[in-house]
Amino acid sequence: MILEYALGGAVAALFYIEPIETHDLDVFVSLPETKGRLLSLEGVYRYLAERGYDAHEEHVVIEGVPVQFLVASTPLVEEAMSSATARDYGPEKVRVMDPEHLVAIMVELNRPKDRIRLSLFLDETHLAMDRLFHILERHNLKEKWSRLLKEIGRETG
Amino acid sequence: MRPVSQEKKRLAESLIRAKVARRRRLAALPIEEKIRILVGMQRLANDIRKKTGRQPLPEWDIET
Repeated sequence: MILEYALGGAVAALFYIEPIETHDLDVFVSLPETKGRLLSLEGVYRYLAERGYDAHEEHVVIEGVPVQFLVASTPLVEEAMSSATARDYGPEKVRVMDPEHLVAIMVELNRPKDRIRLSLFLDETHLAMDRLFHILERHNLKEKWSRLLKEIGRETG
Repeated sequence: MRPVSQEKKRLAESLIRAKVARRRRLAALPIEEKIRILVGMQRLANDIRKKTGRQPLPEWDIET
């Protein structure tokens, strides 16, 4: 039903930066193509409901955590999903988007919370800048990146 | 604006350095510990929301 998944958003960011407040867990999923039909999360919700996890508004509360399932909406998010890597969470392995893709997504979205998180990524984690620049270039985000760095008072790099 | 004395400038710089160092230490914590801190932050932020008449946001009901 789900071909691939990866954690994104604030919880993925937590793997790389200091704790930040968030209230939901974003899980990006890729679904099989259905001919002539829009991709729908209906099957995911039905599967979870059969196991006692009901949807409330845009979330499904799974073991006490509101989880939001999202379908990759841009080529950048699709790429972030497919290049996600398995990371340890206790005894489990979870697929988490890498820091460079998370930063590129922040640049693409450019919401106030993305600007705050971007500063934290720049200060607190090691970003592979070559890799980041390639991602930004592939997705036409280099200008936006430079503008954003100026806005948050960082030198352009 | 009055010029800042060298002593105050040094103090400010050392405070900023300490703050950055603390944030880097927090960033280096294991993910399980960060989740514990996050749940604490959710509770704290919701206390403030409630006391200021705002709607609380979901708190994670997990063992931390």
